Amino acid sequence: MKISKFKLPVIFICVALFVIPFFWLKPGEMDLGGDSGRLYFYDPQALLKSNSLYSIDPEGIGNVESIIYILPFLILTSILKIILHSPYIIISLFNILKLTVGFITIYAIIKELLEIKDRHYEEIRELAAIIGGLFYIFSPMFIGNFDRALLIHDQVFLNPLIFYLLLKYLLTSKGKYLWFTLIITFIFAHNFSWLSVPPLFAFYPLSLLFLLLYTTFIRRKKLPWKAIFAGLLIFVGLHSFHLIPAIISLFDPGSNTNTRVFNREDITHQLDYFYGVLPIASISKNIFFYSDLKQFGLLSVLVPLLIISGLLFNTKNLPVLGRGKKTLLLTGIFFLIVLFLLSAKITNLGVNFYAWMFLYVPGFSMFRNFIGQWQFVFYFFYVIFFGQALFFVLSKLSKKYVVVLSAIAGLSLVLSGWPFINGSLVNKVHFQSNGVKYAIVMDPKYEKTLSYIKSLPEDAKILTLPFTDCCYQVIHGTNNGAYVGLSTISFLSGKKDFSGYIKIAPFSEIFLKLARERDYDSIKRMLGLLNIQYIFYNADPRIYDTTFPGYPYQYVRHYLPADQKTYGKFVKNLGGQKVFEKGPYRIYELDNKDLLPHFYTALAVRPYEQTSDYWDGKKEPFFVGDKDLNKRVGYIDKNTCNNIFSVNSCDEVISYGKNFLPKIYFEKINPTRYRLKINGAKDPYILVFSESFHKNWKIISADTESQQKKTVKNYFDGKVTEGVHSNSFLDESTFYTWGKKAIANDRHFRVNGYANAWNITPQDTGGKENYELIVEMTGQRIFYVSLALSLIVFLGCLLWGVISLVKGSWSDIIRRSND
Amino acid sequence: MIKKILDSKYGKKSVFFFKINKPVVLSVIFLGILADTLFIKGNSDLRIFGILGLYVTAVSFYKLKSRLTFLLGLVLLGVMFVEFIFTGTSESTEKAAVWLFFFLLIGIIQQWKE
Repeated sequence: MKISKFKLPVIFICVALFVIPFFWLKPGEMDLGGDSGRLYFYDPQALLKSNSLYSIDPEGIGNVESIIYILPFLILTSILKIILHSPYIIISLFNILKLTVGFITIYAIIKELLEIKDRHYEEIRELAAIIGGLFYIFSPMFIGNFDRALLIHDQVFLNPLIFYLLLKYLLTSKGKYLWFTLIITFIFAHNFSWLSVPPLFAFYPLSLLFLLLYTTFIRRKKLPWKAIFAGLLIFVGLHSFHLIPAIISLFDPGSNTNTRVFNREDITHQLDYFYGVLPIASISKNIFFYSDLKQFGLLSVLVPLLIISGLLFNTKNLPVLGRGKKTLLLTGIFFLIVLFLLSAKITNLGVNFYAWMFLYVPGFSMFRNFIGQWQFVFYFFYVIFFGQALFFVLSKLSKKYVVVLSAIAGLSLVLSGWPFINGSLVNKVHFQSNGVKYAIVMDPKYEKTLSYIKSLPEDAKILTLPFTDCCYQVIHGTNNGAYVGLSTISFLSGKKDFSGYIKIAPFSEIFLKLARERDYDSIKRMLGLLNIQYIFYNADPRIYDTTFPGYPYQYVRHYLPADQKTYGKFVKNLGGQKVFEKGPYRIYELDNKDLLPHFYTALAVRPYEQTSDYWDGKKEPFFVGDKDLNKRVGYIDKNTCNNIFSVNSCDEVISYGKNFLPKIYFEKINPTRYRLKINGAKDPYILVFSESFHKNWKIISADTESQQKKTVKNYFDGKVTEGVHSNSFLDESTFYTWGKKAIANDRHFRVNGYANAWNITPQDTGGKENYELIVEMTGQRIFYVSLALSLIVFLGCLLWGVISLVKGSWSDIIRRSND
Repeated sequence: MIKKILDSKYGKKSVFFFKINKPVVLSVIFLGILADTLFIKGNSDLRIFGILGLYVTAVSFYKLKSRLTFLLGLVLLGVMFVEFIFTGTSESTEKAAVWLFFFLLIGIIQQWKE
C-alpha cells in the first residue's frame, strides 16, 4: 500500500499521540478521582454488579438516583479489564482515544469542508487541517479538563466524531456512517443521557443546524429525511434504557428533574447562579485562545489574526469550488453565536436576553454555568473556522512563507501545550495538599480491607472516617499519590457508606455539632437511626494530618478531631469493637444498643415538631436528648403524623405492645427488592425501612411462601431476623409483583427524618397473621422494560450492520469478477 | 418620506456633503469606537448600537466592501491585544472585544451578500 506524502505528517502525529499518554502515568499508577468518579477503570465489574443496574444511590441513605446510563460503557471497560488486567493501560488507552480521535476528526472535518479546485492546493489543505487538529487538542478546554476527567469529558472526542460521521452521511447517504454514529452513541450513552444534558443541548442543536444548512445551501444536496427520521427512531430505541426513566422523571411532579426544569422558584435560583458566574466571563480571553498555561502570550493573537486575514482573502481567485467561500462565512456565523453564548456579556442587551431565556425557555437554566457548558462547542467551531481561514491565508502565500507560517502556528500550538504533553497537567498535585499527586498505586492492604468489607454478611451501612466536606474518600497509595474521590466502599463493595457531609444528610449539621461537643451518646443514637453498623477508619497520617491541611476537610475539621491521634480516640469513644486491621485500615463493629436494623417494627411512634425549615443538612435534631430506654421507635414529624394517625393521638407517643408486634425476617434480593416474612401479625403495626423515603417504595403481598434461609443476625431478642442477602438482577420472582396492588400505600410516610414507614393493618393482608411481603422500588420496573427495548433495538442494529457488511462484500466480489 | 427628504434641496446638499467627505465620516465613526473603547468608562448599549447604526448606514451609503470592515476589525484586534497584554481582561479589552465581535458579524454578512 502506497502512503501519500501528504499523509505522512498525520500518521506521525497520530503515532506520537498514541505514545504520549503512556508516559503521563507510571505503570501501575491510576488517576481515579474526581466528581464523577473514575472507578470504572479500576474495578468495572464490581461497579457493574452492585450499582449501575439499580436506581438506588449506593451511598448514604440510598436516595433514588440512577447511573444506568453508564451501563454500555461499563460493559466495555469490563471487557477491557478482563483482556488487559491493568487499569493503567485502560486509562492510557482512553486518553489516547480522546487525543487521536479528537485530532483526526477535526483534521477530517476541515478537509471535508474545504472543497479544493485542484490538487495544487492539496498540500495547503493538509497543512491547514493538521494545524486545525493541533489547535483543537491543545485548546484550553481540551487540556484543562484532562485530570480527574468527568464522564462528560468524553465530548472532546465524541463531538467532532459524531459531527464528522453525520457530515459524511449527509454528503454521501451511505448507511455505514449512520450505523457507526448510532453504535458510538450507544457505547458512550452517558454522554447522551440526563447527566450530559447541558453539553448535549449546547453542541447538538447548533451543529445539526450547521450540517443541515451546509448540506442544503452550500453543497446543494437533498437531505434524506426518511433515513434521518429512521435514524432518530433507532437512536431513541437504543437509548430508551436511560431516556424513558429520565422522561418519566421529567414529568413526575416533585422529582428533581421536574423541579429543575419547570419550577419557577428554582429557575430564579439558577438565574442568581448565572449572575454569579457572569463577572468571570471574558470575551477577549476566549478570542485569544488564552490559557493560563500559555508560555507564548504574544503568539495568542495569532489565531484571531489568521482568521481575520482569512476573511480578507476570502474574496476573489478562490482556491475552493463553487459556493465554497460561503462555508467559511457560515462557520463564522456559528462561531459568533457560540462566542455570544459562551461570554454572555456582549452588551447589556445581550445579558438581558440571556436572562430572559432562563425565565422563558424551559430547561435553559441548565446553562447557569454557561462558561463550562459552552466552551467545548465554542472551541469546536473556533477550530473549524480557524482551519478554513488558515487555508485561505496559506493559499495566497508563496511556498516559502507557507512553510514559515505553518511552522510558527504549529509550533506555537504544540509548545503552548507542553505542560499537557509532558503529563504535568494530567498528574497534578492535589488542591491544598502538600505535594500529593493524583495518580495512585493502590495499596494492597486497602484492597484486602475492601475484600473484607465485601464479605460482611449483613446489609450493613458504614461510616468512613476521617469524614470529608463533601462526599469523598481519601486513600493514600504506595507512591506519593492519593485517591480523592467517591467512596470506594459504596461503589465497589456494595455496602452503603457515609463518607462526607453531604452523604449524611439530613443529619449533616447536627452530626458536626455533636462531634464538636463530643456527645458520643447522641452520635451513637444517630448512627443507630442511620443503620450504621460499622466504622471504617483510615488511620494513615498521610491522608489527614499535614499532607491534607485543607481540602477535602476544610469545613468539617472545625468540628471533628484535628489530627489522626485524636481521631483514634474519637473512634474508640464511639464504642466500636475492632474486627479488622491491615496497616492503617481498621474496621470497627459498633456495639450499639441503639442500632435500628434495615427493617424493623416500631414499638413506638414519637411525634416531633419540625421547627426548622432549612435545607436537608439542618433538620431538627429530634433524637438528641431522648433519654427513653426504648430506642426501637420511629420519629415522625407532627404534620405527617396528623395525616396518618388521628390528630389527638399525635400529641403524645403512640405505643405498640411488645407482645402484639409480629416477628419479621428480611433478606435482600437486590438493592431495589427485599423479601420479608411476617409472623404473628394480629394487630396493626409500623414497619420501618431504613432507606431514603420515596413514594415508589411499595409493599406488595406475596401469595407464595419461600423457604426461610440461613440467619445472619438477630435483633431485639429475635423479633427481627436478618437473612442471607443476595444480589440478583433477574430471577423468576422479578416480574411476580407486576400488576399487583400495593398495600398500605396511603399509609406510607417518612420516619426518622429520612426513612420509609408503613402503617400496616390486618385488613391489608386479608386478616392473615403469617405472610410474606415484597418491598420494592417500583421505579426500577421502567428500567427493565426500557432495557429490554434497548437490547432489541441494539441487536437489530447489529444485524443491520452485519447484513450491510455481507451485502457490501458480496457486491465487491461481483464487481471484481465483472471487471 | 426618506426619498422626499433626500430629494429636497437640503437633502441633496447633505448627500453631496457626505459623499465628498467619506474619509472624514468614516474616521469620525472609527474614532468614536476607539474613544468608547479606550477613554469612556462604563458600558452603554445606546452608544454601541448608535455607532454601529452609523457604520451600517455608511456601509449602505458608500457601498463599502467587507474588506474595509475586516480591516477595521484587524485594527480593533490590535487594540484589544495591546490592552490585553498591558491590562489583562480589563474593561477596555472587553469593550474592544465587543466591537470586534460586531465588526466580524457585519463583515460576514457583507461578504455573504457580495
